[in-house]
Amino acid sequence: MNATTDLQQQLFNFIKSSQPHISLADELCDLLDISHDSAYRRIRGEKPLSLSELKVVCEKYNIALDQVLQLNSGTVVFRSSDGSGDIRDLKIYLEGLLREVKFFNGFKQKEMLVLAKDFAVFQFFLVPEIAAFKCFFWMRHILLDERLTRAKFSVRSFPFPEILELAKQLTKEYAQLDSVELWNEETVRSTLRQIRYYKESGLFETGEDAEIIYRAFDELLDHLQHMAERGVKSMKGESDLVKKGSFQLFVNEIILGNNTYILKLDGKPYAYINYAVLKYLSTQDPKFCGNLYNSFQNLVSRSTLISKVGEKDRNHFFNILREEGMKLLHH
Amino acid sequence: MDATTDLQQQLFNFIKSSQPHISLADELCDLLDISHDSAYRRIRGEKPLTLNELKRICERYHISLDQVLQLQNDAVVFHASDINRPVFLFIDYLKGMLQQFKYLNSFKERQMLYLCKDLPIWQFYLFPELAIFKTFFWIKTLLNQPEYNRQQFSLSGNSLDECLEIGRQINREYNQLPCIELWNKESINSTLSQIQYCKDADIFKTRTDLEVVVDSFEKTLDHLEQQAEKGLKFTPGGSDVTYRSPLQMYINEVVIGSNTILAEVDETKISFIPYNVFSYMITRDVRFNESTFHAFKNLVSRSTLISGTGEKERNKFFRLLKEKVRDLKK
Repeated sequence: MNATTDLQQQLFNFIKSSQPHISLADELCDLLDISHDSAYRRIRGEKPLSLSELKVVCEKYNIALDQVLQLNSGTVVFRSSDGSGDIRDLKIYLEGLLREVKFFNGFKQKEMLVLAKDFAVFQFFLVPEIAAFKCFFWMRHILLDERLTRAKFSVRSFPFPEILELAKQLTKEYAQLDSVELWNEETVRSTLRQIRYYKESGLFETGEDAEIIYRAFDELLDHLQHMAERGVKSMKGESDLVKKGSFQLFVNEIILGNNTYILKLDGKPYAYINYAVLKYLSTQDPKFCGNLYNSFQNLVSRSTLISKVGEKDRNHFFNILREEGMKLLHH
Repeated sequence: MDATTDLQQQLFNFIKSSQPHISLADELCDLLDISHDSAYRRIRGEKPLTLNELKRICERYHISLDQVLQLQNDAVVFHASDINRPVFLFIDYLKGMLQQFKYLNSFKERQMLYLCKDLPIWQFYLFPELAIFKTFFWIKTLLNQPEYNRQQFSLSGNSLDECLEIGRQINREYNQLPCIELWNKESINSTLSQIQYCKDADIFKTRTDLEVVVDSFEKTLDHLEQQAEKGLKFTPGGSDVTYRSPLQMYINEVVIGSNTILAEVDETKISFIPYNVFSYMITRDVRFNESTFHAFKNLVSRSTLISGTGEKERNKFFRLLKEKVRDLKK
């Protein structure tokens, strides 16, 4: 058997393993308009696929060929959270994210490594008022949702209950994952800026809304600190006895994070790169993920662990975050 | 002519146009270990390529098969050349960046959009003391080069001249490239925190080393302020006669930047998405670029212009940054 048949067989094996319920030969007959016999000869690798057949097969099974063939060309194939469109509806975006996190939780071993620039979406959602504020902000200013073009934010009348419901589900899923997170003092900054921007631009419906959001942000910090103390994730108001994922928190002073996520699912790495504020690109490219993983470990080795242990550093860090809040919001 | 030969011919035409100086047939003979005649039959599309041959060709010419086949999946293909480097040397990284700038400058119509998280890397090379510090810090802490393990930082006796020279060259190229930059008050924070870190960890050999680096940082900000004032880019102390490309500098308060670079050359859009601290992955994917450009323009529309105009805001902005820098001496 030469290497050619090897690769072609690899491709068909990949399809079979990802779609175990189909009869590949039958589908190929239809797809390529060939006889059963010809289909089998292609599957066995006796007859090479032409480029156009290859194209048809890849599109049918949504295959990124570079990845399957482990092409060593310096290119990496990513999938965008936008799919093949341009998502402008936060609900659809969050539904996509929820599918993704459920996929993570489908694995037995699941660990999430986070190089945070901001808090993760899931963390904002721990406190409903912050969830409403962030969602409103993203919808109005980033996704340019026309329903909110001239709207002001009010905690009491956030008009999209289905979005808050999704937010709740996302936090639940997040709480099941083990995570290792690298934060720094900047991690709170963008949200604080956004709150201030709202205050200065008169985008809070009432003065009370600003106060509520400010208090809610403090509550969020308290809760995250509580998670760090125990080294375990939790949901607000839920008993600590329900089993949850672990939470390892490090303070990194070396660089600002960039919202990179590395998932290790049953030992296999997946990388998620953030772009254009909310969107992300994901890949399973082994080299790319390996690179990212190594540099994450390097940063961990230069950071300070403040979950479970390191009480003094932990208090110090969270106090700095609270001070940042005071400074930004009251001056 | 059926679709197969079409795609295969397209592939070879693409290779020929991107590598006009090679003899494709000769190279194919060597690469695939086939006769001249067989090579020509493949180039003409008479004999289909096998998957194995395809793989070799794509690797040889750095081509993505997904792109060749124009696969309609939801994939976006990026070039991330750094992932193939067995050892990541900082000098190679800088040289790669210089190449990119030269490439962008080879177009008549060109523009760069930068969403700062930090100062753009090459701007650390405006003044040598800050350049030496940043290069030292990156190599020591991020690239983990063993010979830097126990080394303290001192301005004298380093061997970073080549990096400094490439950094200067990048700045000269950058000055030829019209830019829109979105900054925020956080854009200097990572350097502030790195200097503080080295101060706390006793990495500065002497107090003077610290002070000189801080002064150099301040000088850098002075220079950036002057550029913003004029709305033009230039080299410190450079002559007025050389071309100075326009700079539009905005303050963005809505989100913290990401160091994403977008470029538009002639009619083509390119996105450079940062990953892994230094590295960039690059794509020309049309749909993807539409969404990154759209996001950038949305942020611009919510930002304040401080170059060429907006004196009050500009003064306030730079005063705040410089105060933070001076505080490092305390």
